[in-house]
Amino acid sequence: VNIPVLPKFSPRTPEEQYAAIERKLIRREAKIGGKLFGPLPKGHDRQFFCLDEHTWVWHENWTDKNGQRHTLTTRYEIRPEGILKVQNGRYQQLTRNEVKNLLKAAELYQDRVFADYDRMLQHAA
Amino acid sequence: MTTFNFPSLPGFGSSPEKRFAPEIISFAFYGRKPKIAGAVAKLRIVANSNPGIEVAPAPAPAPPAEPQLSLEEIQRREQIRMAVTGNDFLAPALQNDTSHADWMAKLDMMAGEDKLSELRRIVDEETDREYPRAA
Repeated sequence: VNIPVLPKFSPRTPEEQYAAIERKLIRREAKIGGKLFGPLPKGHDRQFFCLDEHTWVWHENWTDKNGQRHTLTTRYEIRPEGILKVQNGRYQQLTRNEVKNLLKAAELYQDRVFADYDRMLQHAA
Repeated sequence: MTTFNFPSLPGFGSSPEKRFAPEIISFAFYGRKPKIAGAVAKLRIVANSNPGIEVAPAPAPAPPAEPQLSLEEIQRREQIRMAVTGNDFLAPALQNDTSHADWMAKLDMMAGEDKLSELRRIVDEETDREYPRAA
């Protein structure tokens, strides 16, 4: 999985090591998140993940019928005054439906990711 | 580094012997889980207090507005229509209009001739001169 917002680099300090582990886990979560919204058409790749406590990211790329690659990254910023959607540097307020859908997706993401981590722990014991 | 065997998970397509380091498991529990729980809680609070903008249904297309014409413009159009069709139902309103009389003279001169386009051109020229259009 190649997520542009999560660049890969070789960690040196403990902080960098933790950051590298977190990125690894986020990549795993992004795969789980990408499956929350049903099956994808062939050639599509989708990730949905929680970047930090106030940022959710939807990343999708696909190849069109002419073989051209497309990428769309949508960032949802959770601010006290409301939720903003950022696409190509353009900020938009979310509609009521979008807010409902985002909250539902985030709750489902939490359930699936926590279940995945619980399985990791069970198998580690 | 101590590793352990991790069984394959449905849907991940990973190898059955995928290995995870303990620090990864530890970070998943003490790093990611609280962060995700906090993010979802924050999202829930903001979503409840700011539920997003209301999108009104698209309005039905408005019928084309009736043009607000000046009396001069109405007369000008009617004179053109009248010159072409010969239906002079605005004649009483125009009877004191000297330009109208001039037109009538021109129309009389052209009576019987099949020069509709010429007639239109003359009417337009006269009308534009008598009733200049707004810039």
